Amino acid sequence: MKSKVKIKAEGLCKIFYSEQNEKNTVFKNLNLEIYDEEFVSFIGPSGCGKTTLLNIIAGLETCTEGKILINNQLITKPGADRGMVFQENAIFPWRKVIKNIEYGLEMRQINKQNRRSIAKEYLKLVGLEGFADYYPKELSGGMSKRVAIAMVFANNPDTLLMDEPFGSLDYVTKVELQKELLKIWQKERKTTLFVTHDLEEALFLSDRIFVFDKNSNVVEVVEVPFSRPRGEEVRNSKELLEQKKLLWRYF
Amino acid sequence: MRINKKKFLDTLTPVFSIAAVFFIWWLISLFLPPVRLPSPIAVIEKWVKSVFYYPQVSMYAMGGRNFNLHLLSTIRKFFIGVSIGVFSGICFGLILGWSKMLREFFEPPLEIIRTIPSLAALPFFLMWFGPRESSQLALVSFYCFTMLVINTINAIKNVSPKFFRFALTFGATRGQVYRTVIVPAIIPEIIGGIRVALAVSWGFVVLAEYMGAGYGVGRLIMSFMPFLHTIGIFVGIFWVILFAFLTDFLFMKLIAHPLTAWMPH
Repeated sequence: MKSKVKIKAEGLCKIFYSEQNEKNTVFKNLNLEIYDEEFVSFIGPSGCGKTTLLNIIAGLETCTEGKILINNQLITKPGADRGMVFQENAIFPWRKVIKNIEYGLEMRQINKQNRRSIAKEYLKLVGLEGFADYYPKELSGGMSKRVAIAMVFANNPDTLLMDEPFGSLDYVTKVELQKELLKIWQKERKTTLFVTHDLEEALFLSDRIFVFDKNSNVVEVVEVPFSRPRGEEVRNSKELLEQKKLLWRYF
Repeated sequence: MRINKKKFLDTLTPVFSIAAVFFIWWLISLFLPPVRLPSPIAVIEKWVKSVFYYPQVSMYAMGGRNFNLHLLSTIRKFFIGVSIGVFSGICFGLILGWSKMLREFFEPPLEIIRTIPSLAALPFFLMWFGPRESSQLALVSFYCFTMLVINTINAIKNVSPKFFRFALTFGATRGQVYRTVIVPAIIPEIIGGIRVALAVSWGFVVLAEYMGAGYGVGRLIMSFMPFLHTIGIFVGIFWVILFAFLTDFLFMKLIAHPLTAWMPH
């Protein structure tokens, strides 16, 4: 099953210049391959470039050297084929929940009736049926995240980029959203790249985990042994704890 | 019940403070001749009657002219001037927000023009347009225009990049991002700018009329001055205060609130 390469980075290098014109190299020579329909996590210390990598794949930033391919195509700009959920709450506060979920479809000029029915479907999928006509200011942090996830899924991208999406949430909400995400992912099987600091989260969700060190080298790629679909018993299993211990060594 | 009580007190406080101002005014007026400072009671009486009967207008200002014509003239100039200035200012600001080249070209002169107080430029408006309605309109429009252009550009610069980055990941084009992210995001700041423009513009219309106008509250006040018709000056000022208050109230109620219902308080 893990045959087709979806995303491929070759000799990726990214150099930032600070305001004092200091050179800051994030990736020196990054090579990685991510397969179709795979769920991978990136973990590593803060500032190791995980978010930068996601931004480059999203087309929001460019790399300095090397190349990054998706379906064998060079990534040059953002596109509807790659959806992204940001760490911060970026849903549009001036749009009601349902209009937020319709956003991507509206941009692709899908007719009003179709986009309303698709939006309703995803609103239901994230468990917010009753909140269609609410403004984001009336939602909690967890609900806003659900809206963001529904927005991205409704636009039907084939790659999902998630940058510490649940980082700011409390534990209970986080666990709940992980479950929901897995449920939707199980159904739609999108290639997912997930940045997190949370080892449990990475193990619970992913097929493989890329471990970065502080110099943004991939030091280890961990194959997560749990079979799918995964239930809550995985979270509290001995095996997960052991895997967690193994991962701890890199921090 | 307790909330109601608090609300009641909250509405009562401004009533008290305004009453206090009138009381002090009244006290001072007891010691001064009415030509220096008329009593507030006399002013309010004259103010209320002014729209029905104002003999001094034909005596001091211009023969047989109706007081209400002067009020309407000021109102008309205000609305035409503000509408032209605000609308063109926002449009121009949106164009400059769109085009980096145009923005880099126009921003430096705009920054310089902004530092000139519009009032200091009043003589030029009089010289170019004459002591006519057009010079008063031009002054108000010019002020609102510069105010709103700068306001719009700054509002665009303040839009959080997270919103348009998010929009881009949905495959939105530049034009779509502008229409669906930039424009709605800047509305609250533009409303703030319009509010300031509305308040200042009332003063500008009247000041421009001081400098020479056929009609208007400013013209009336200027005509009353040599006759020491102090109470009439107060009546004029009271009308302008009422207009300024009403325009702000109606603007907030009819335009600002519906457009910003989404904003957190």
